[in-house]
Amino acid sequence: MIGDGLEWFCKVLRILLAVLVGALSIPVFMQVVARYTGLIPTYLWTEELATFIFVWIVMIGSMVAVWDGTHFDVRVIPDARRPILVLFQNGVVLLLILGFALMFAWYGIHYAEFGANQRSVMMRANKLVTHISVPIAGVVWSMFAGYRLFETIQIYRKSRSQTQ
Amino acid sequence: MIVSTLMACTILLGSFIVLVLIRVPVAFALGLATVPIVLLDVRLTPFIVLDRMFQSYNSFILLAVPFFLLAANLMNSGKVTDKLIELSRVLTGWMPGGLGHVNVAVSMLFAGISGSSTADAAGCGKILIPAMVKEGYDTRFAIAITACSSVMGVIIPPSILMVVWGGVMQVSVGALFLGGAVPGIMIGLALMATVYGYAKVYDYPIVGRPTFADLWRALKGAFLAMMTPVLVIGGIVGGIVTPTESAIIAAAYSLVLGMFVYRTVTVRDLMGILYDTGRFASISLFAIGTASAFGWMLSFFNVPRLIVSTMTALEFGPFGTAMMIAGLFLVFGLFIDAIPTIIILGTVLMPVAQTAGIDPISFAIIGIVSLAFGLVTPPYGLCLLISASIGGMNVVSVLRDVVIILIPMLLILLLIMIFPDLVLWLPQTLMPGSFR
Repeated sequence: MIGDGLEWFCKVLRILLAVLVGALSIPVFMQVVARYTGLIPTYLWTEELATFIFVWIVMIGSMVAVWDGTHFDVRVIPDARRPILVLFQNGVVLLLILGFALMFAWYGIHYAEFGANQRSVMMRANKLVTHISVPIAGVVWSMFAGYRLFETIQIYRKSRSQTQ
Repeated sequence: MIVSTLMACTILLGSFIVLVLIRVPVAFALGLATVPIVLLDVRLTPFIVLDRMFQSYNSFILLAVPFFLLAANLMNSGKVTDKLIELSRVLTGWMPGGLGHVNVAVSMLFAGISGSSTADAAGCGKILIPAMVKEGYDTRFAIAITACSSVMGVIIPPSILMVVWGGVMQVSVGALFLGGAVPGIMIGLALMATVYGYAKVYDYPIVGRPTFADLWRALKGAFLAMMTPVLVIGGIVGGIVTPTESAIIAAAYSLVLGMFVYRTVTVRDLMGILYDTGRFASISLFAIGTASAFGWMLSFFNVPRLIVSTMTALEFGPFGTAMMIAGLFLVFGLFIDAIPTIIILGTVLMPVAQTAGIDPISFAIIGIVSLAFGLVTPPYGLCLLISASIGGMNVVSVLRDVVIILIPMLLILLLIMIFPDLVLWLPQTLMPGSFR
């Protein structure tokens, strides 16, 4: 049930990611049109808005990749076959990601507070808009990595009970 | 406590290597490796590391990465790849080993449009590997030539790696694009010579001799797609558009071709293409953040200065230094994605290259070509992994052919180190301003 909920949540993130990539092209395209055609005025905020969207694309994409397990890794050591070794191999990695994610979330709160006290140069937007993505990413990674760790333990338990 | 340079270097590199070996994703391994130093050194706080990471995303030039990927994905979905294959078939299919040449030629054309090697391996491989196998080519050769020719995607302009390099190291992206053109074409020709050798040994067939009508039809079909490099490279070199703007123009142009000219991309397809672009771009770009924090920490502890003084004391000279640089990029490229390698190793080696009298453009092309070879070498050869999965074979079983095909490509790398003018001639002629 938790797994289904997280999968549904990840689906929302995937849609958001696609929408943001589409949205990213709007301010950059506006910039090109404004500069070379004169059809619209040259807005200064387009570049800033594009980098705001860009930050969210990177953060949301990194969240989805934790759930899907698609962040690039290096396969020097072969895949473990024995259940206990599978648990160890996957468990250690997920535990380390979880630890990093929790730190990211904790210090990210301070970072978001720091952003809340700043305003962007062009749009005069509160920088919390982008800085909040740091603790959010930390929390979402924690949820995703935590659940994957739980799943890994469950798989090990199941395989052990089958052999007994 | 205050951590010494040697201790910082040992902890950072040691923990990174251990973490990568136990299969922690590279992006997280880079971030995790900085944690012990932050905990030990009183001058550092997690806030500084977090800020370094976050600020690296605040770069307008990096926006070109998702747009070039979007252009490549739209090309693949919009059957533009099919038009390029048809043109390559007419131009090169009459030679012995016809489809092998088509594979190389289409990668060169695709490279001139997309800037992504993985998109090339996936898009062209899906069509050409089954076609080659059907015509009696050995599957291992079909996989190896697809993977090896796709590396031209990041060498022949436009190139995502060059955009990242230019953004991180403040080098003209236009000059980098021009610098990659001659080595890219040389690699293409070297690959064609290898295909010819294979065709002679294994008696591979030709596709057929084209008539003028075939040539005209293929040229007409691919003409609109072939306008992309003119728009992108012409725009940047002519100083009309920035790399990011050229990337959005390429993406918009591909969208128009796919949706309205060839009518092969629907609105429903578009959502999938946008998601695929976001997913792949964000995985690479996220690693840029943690690599920037890692690289900044190396600089904070004066590791680059230590390396420069050590290398300078060894007095390798420009060629020896270039060899050492290529060797390091080749080794790193075996294990890590090209983008984090550029940020970590590129920034560290930049002063080494400058001290040895290597031009920044030449240094960049040596680094990028070396990294491109990493795309086809295990354990982390993305293009080889993609091609092998399309061909339904294990990576290990195609390694022999990959090595054979890589040898002439390595000779080209050696040539550009011995004769840097092969790289510098075009940018010096067309963009002399970027050398002042």
